[in-house]
Amino acid sequence: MIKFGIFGILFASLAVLAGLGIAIGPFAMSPGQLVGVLMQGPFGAPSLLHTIVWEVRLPHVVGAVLIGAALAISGAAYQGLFINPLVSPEILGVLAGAGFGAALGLVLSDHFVTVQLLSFIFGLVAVGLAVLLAWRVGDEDGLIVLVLAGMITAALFTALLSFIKYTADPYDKLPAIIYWLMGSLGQITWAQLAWSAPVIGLASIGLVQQAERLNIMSQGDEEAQSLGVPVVQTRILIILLTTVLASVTVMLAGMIAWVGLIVPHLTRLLLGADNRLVLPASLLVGAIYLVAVDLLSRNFTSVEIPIGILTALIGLPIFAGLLLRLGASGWR
Amino acid sequence: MIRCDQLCGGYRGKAVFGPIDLTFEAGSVVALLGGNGSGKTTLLKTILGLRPPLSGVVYWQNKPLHALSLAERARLVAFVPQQHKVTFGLRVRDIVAMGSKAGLIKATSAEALARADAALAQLKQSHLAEKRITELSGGQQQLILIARALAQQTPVLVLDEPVNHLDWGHQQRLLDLIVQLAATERTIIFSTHHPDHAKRVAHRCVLMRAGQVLADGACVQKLTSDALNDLYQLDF
Repeated sequence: MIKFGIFGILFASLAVLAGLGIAIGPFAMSPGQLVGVLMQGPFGAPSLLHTIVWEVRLPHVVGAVLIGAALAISGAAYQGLFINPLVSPEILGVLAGAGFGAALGLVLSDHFVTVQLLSFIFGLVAVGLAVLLAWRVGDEDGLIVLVLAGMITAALFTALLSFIKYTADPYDKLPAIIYWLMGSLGQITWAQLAWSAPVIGLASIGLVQQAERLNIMSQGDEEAQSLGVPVVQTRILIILLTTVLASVTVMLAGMIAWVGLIVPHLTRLLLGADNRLVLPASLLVGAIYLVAVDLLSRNFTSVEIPIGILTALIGLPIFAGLLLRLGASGWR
Repeated sequence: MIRCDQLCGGYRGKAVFGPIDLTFEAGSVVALLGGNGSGKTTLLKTILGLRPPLSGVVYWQNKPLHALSLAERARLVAFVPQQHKVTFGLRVRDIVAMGSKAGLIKATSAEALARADAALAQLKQSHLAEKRITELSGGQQQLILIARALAQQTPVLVLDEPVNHLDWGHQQRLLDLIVQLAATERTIIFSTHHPDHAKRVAHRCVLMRAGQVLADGACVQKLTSDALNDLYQLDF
């Protein structure tokens, strides 16, 4: 019952924060005005207020919810899969690959769709290469080999990204690449949300369905196998779903670090280590975390701070606090 | 019944044991003895299908092991490993229930938890049910793994050095449990470094040295002082 209560509180917190995210900003509005505009729906009477709510703030907040949820469940799934609480979604090189793809897209084209498509494709390519390399090495010490292969592909795409930055036009393309890599929710549109929401939703459901197997796999490969779990197939499925989720977030908003590392820890503090609870709850905690950080990034100064900077600046002290606390009591 | 035909196993193509011919009859209790590095664990893991054989075939109930799905295997054989790494603090009851659900995807949580509770009670560890596994001592963790294997309710139980980390009292309780389980026609294969344990509960013992079977037969006949001196290469 307590755990259901925690889920209820998380839902309520997300709803309140999302409401604040829409209401608070340089253009002030009363709660009554906000409710009125929301009730009008997306095709209500044109007005400045309606445009600000429906075209600027709402996609921004919905994007934060989706991206926070996607990064958090990816991190939780990877920490379970690699049986390591220090793992984050970029362990197999997905963010490095997606970052390189986006930079390549920015150099080759001015179309945002090209940038996003290349970002998504190279995110998958980077992880695919890591998995392929690990598979070629063999299945002895499978997880360690996989992590090392991920380090190799991440290093490769980081180097390629540096090369693109070095050769990019320093007055036009380079600033665009650097700004994009900092992570921002500012360019998210309804059209992007319309296709990314179902992708994130389906991949998240897929991961939640694997939660029980993740629990069993946390006992080690051999024990999981003797308990009837097809370890390799399950691992590939989880890597695929997680890669899709992480790539979609990079496509939508660039590199947003730390969410996938910290949120699963916060969630385990609330609900314990059972992935059947951690995975769905991390969706909510991740969404809350990113909506809150987005609220700060838009209102902290007169200029919107790229959210990737703030997730790191806020995430680091939280992680240090967790280390101090969990260092004494043990990881959950 | 489990049968190994000319079975050879090892790591990265390098043989650790074999070729070995062995049969484990249904309802028998077999102890595997041998010095460190003699190949006992690798043999057990190859018999369980956790490691692919380098050559030869393992048969479970006259079917080649590779012809059985993982779910079918989990319904036939339960395994207690020699080493277990604990990272996340899962609840003990949930870990034991993993055994209840093994190979039975449709088992409900209530049924699985009931079987888990029964297994914990059988080992007199019900008081640990709500604790996190990370809070337990090495010996308690070992008992939880044994409870998980009991909850699996398989006709065959394979235990790799099961008394590791257990205090003397729990060692005696485990040996009594093996005798009780044997009375219910279960096949039990366990490796051990304690010849007295083998003599007390096993119908048969297999002595291994350098990956080969040195002797195989009734414990009373095979576990003589001379045989043990020879097995562990003791020079007095």
